[in-house]
Amino acid sequence: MSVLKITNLHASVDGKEILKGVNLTISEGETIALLGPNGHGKSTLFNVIMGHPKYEVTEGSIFFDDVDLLKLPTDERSKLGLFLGMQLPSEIPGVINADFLKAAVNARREKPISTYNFYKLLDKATKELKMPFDLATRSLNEGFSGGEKKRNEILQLELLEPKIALLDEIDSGLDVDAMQVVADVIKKEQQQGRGFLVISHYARLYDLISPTRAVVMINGRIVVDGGPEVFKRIDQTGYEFIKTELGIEIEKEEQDMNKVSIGSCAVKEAIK
Amino acid sequence: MEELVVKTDNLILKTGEYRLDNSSVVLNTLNIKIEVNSNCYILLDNLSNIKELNIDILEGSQVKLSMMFDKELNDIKININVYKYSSLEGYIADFSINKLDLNCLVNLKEEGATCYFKLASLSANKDDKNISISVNHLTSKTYGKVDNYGVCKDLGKLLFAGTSFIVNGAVKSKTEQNAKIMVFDEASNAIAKPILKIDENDIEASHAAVVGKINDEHLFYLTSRGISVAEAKELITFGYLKPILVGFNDEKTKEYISSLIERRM
Repeated sequence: MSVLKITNLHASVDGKEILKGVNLTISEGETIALLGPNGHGKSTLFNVIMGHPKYEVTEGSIFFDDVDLLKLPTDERSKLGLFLGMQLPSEIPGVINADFLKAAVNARREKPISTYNFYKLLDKATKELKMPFDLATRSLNEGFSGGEKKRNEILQLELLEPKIALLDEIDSGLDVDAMQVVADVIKKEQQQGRGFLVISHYARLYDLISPTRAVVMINGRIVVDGGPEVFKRIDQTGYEFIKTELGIEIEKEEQDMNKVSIGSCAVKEAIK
Repeated sequence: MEELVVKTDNLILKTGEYRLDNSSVVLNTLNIKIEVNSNCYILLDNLSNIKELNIDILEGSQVKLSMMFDKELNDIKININVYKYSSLEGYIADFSINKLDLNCLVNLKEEGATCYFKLASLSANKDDKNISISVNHLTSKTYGKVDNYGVCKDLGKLLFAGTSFIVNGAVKSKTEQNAKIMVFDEASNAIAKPILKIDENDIEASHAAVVGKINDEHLFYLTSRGISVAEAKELITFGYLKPILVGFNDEKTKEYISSLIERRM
């Protein structure tokens, strides 16, 4: 059974520290709800695990079994069995979805999959996700609706069969029916023993996929690690108890304000 | 598709599909006249011997002119006149090597004349390419659009120029120019400068130019699925140049161009 172990992870972007000592372990077969207010480092953690070039790791380690992930490029991390379902998947003009999916499937096979077998696989997976097949023949995510993009992420999860999947707000943009479809696929994948680390702001998805654990990230650290009761409590009462019971002050998300605003005074301000 | 052997420098074509290559042309200037009310597909398959190509598209005709180059070309001049209610669709898949000066001028001479031009060009291995596709709107109700896509790498130089000119009196005309170049390395040199010259008020015109490197987010997205950086770049580039394939009717040429892109990248 594979284990992803994150120890004292510090990471920054543009010189600003976002992760300030994250400790978290997730094993295959577990489903962990990753909770926390906006701007406290949840998505950053996912990006750092996958090796996004924008983020700099300044301290700590991430091991996948006995492999030091921080030494590997992004594609190698994926091939080891990690998957990141993105909050805002890139739109890549001209790259045909099916070509991309085939390249991704082939990246983890010694012999390339035959076109016939690939289309059989794709046909089955798109039907399961109730996706129109023509999405496969269009440019990757270009002109896809929010829901279609998210289903396309889950489609990749199915085709790539990772050991541990990181899902970043995979439910945003989904209507009730689509959420059920996505949850059904996740449940099926859970039964096959995959591990999930799931960010969502809504209890609905968690109710459908029944996490085994819930962790809360505040100020760039994991401050609560408990059972499913944690997300139920947060859903009902918010994050206030973190402050009252644990004595942790929740830093407000910084709003980058322009130094000047539009208008005649702003011009003067800019001249200064 | 009819293979054409040109013995005269004046060719008159009616409705049909035609293919010309170096073996079929002995002269380096070629004049083609498309007769009235014709519907033609003309494939210039690596016609690298030619220096000057003049085409007249007479009234009421539709012409799809597709060019593919993968050899050394040097200079080539293309002049196309489009007459009343005729339309030209032009496609150039340029994978020529070394130095290239390609100058294409489309004159929309009479009312209702339209032109759509699409070009995909690769400049690699110190290639030095100047490509200019210009459209003159010489009378009212003419429509022109030019889309240039380029990839520049390994010390390649690529310049997209071209002027869309609307003369005084060419009312209700519409013109559009787009030039996009993706640059792979700092040592390559890419310039996109689509120019609009407008002498009439009652028209629509727009132009866009983009020169940039591969988007880091796109690269991260693809590599996060296990695709190597090299293959991801290839997919993105392929996606940039591949849309030119719609300009070619026969599968053989399409496959050849696809394989060219793969090989050259």
